[in-house]
Amino acid sequence: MQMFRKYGDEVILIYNPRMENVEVGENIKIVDTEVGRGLVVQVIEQSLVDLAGILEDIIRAESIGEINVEEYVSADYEQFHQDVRNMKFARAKIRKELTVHDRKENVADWTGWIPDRGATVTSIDDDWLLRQLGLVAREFKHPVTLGEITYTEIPLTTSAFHLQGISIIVGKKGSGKSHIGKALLLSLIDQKAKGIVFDINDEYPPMRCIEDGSKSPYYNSIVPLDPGTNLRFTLPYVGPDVFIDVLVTTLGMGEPSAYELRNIWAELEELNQLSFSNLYTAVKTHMDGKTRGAVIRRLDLLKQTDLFVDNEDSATTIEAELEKIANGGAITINLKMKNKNTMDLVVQAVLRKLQELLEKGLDPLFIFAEEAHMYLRETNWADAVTRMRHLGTYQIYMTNTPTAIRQLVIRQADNLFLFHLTEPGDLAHITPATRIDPETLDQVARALPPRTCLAVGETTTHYPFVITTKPLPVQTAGETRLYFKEK
Amino acid sequence: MQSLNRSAIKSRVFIIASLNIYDSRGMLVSEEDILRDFVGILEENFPQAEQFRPRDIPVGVGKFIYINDEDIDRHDDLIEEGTVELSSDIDSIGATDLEPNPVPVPVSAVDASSALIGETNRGIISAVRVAIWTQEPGKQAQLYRYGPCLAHFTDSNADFLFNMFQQSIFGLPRGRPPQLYKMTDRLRNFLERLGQRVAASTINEGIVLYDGSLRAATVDTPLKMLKDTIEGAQKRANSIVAIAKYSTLKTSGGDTILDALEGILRPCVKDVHDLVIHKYQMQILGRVHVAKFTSDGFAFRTDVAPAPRSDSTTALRTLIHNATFCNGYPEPLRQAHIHAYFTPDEILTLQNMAVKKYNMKVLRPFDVRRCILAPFGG
Repeated sequence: MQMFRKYGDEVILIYNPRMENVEVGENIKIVDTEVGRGLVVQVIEQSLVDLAGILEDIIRAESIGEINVEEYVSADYEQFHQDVRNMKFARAKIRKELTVHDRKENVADWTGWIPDRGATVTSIDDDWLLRQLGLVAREFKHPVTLGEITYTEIPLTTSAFHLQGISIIVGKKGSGKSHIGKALLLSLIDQKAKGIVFDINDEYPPMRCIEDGSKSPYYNSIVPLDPGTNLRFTLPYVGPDVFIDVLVTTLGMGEPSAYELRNIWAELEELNQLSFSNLYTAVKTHMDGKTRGAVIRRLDLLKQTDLFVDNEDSATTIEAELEKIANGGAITINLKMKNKNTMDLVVQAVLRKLQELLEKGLDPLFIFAEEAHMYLRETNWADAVTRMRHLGTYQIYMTNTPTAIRQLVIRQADNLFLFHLTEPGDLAHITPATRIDPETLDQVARALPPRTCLAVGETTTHYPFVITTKPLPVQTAGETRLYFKEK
Repeated sequence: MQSLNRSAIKSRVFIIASLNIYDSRGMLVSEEDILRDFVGILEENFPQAEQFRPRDIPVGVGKFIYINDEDIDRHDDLIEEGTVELSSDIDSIGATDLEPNPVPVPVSAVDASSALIGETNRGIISAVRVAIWTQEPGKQAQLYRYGPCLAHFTDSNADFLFNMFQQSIFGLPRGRPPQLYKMTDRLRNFLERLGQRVAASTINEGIVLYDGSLRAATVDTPLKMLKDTIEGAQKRANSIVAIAKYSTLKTSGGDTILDALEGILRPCVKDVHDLVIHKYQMQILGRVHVAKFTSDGFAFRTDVAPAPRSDSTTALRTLIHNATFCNGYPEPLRQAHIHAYFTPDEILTLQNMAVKKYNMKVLRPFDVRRCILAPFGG
């Protein structure tokens, strides 16, 4: 492999694929031993070299169609010709500069220096690179293994410390983004951290078991809550702000009705008689005819969600549920097949309650939000990166619709896990989430196979790594109902 | 996709001294056997050199760049052979229309290309390839490609190689090899002549198309060499049609004879043989014409050596019926051209092969014109 050319922060490396193998995401060292300097580059694209004459050759071969050809050439020639025709180039981004003093190598940010064409080009031992970047598992107090570096199969371990911010996991459906979300959750649980999962596909509770159906080590650490079943609130717990806000925002209740309802709520609260049934009855008896009909219709819709109970003993509190995972764990809130009202009520209630608890000194926790655009409101996005974040909720967003994540969140992101994506709009949208160049995202995202992602951010000291997700010791498959059971 | 007969791609290991051009009964083996066996022989008998300076390869991705050094290598020879002026006015000869002769016959066409690959501290390395295109009525066309034959010409082997062809293969008197830089074209010419013999041997009662003219007694083609080739073809009742894209034949006004059919928009031919000066006529082993094969095509100098009991015009009319044309140029000959020429990547391949196989130290490609004239005409 030889260095051919440099454009901006990229170098072009020429190689013979029969002799050397190069993969997108692979790290390569170009060292000028004479001057003791070098570059660490990362391949973002590979292609065939466009040599003069290749087009003629191909057209010549293709234009003759199906005629018989008898060719008498020396056996060696065919091999040499294939080598020339198939020469490839690797487009690589300059990531770091290398200095060598007394045989000791150090990497630092690139100063703009480049080696000459005689420099030695070698594939990097990723262990060496990880050491240089300070990503060594034994040096972390709270190690979290993200996966294996795809082309060397060396585990990439970071510290849970670096997940305390906003992390974004994006990729097409089936690319493996939920898998890495689950891996992160389990790693955080291992580190005694607590998490709340808005589980849009009800795919986290199966992790309580292993493949054969028996209990996994996470059986007690994962607490599944199902709205309307074992996640039910009393009105005093939800509070008038969330309750009436949902009626107005989601169910389209008018302001005058909301005003009257708020008054009734206050009266019942004062009498210490606030419950869903009492509220319903009071609306029926105290409100005038026109407003009453509008409010009752909406209360009926909420009633159907089974989210509200009058008896405190049957009700759920986030505090009580968090108590169950005091030594680390996750509360998963099943949003699968829930209607918009239910999702909205549950999410708003949980977020509002979390905010209250954090203000009162609750330990920080992680929120896992899959396809968050389906249940987060504009104000939630803004709160997420400002108040909530500073209060100690660290967020991990997973989506196959990256454009649905607000730019506000993207620009505050600390980590990105990028799976296979092809839409230029999607890639352009998430580019501000990293400190790396758009070309890397563009080229690498298109070339990522399933279960492989580009990880970059605080977790990787902003050096992009292509990693393969690790298999988990638990059940992970989300279940999709199929009409056709076989291909 | 190209239907490539992989089993036919083989390397035959011979040493030149024992190249079997005679069979066990002492008979000369066929030209095809010689041509086929020749691929690889020169590679196996490559005089060792220490240094290799590859030829500068033209660049231009996306442009069509073909390499055939024949025109460059023959430039001096053409000057030596000179421009021939016709003895009287070409306009005095009428053009004969060429109506297709609806008789299906086989057609074969031959072309060869040569390329300098680079220079060594002992000589030059060259490559030659021969392509033969054959089509028979009702059958799929067949392409035979021989080579690239890689050869290393040095002062110590030039005489041997030259006379191996001259004497052993073509049965000519021993001769003096040309200067080394001309050996590439000599090898091309020898192999092309062999190819012409092979092309004629694969068909009967057909037409064999050559690239160039039927002029012999030139620097590279002794009269006997071409005479034997033509006689061999005629023994199989084949007509030979040699088509030249350029011509050294000029009218008294200084125009090339190719202008003789200017303004005539139909297939036609002018037999200008009798206008060629006598001395030159004696060197041409056929009759000289200017022909236009399609109404909208170019005119070409067309030498014809018709089959016994046939004539030039019939041969040309039969060709029109049995071939397709591209801008007036016969497609079989065009295909032979296409598959004989070298492309820049092939030259690079041959350079790599030479360096690797013969373990030579590579010197940077060097073009003195570029060094002293670039960017003005360099």
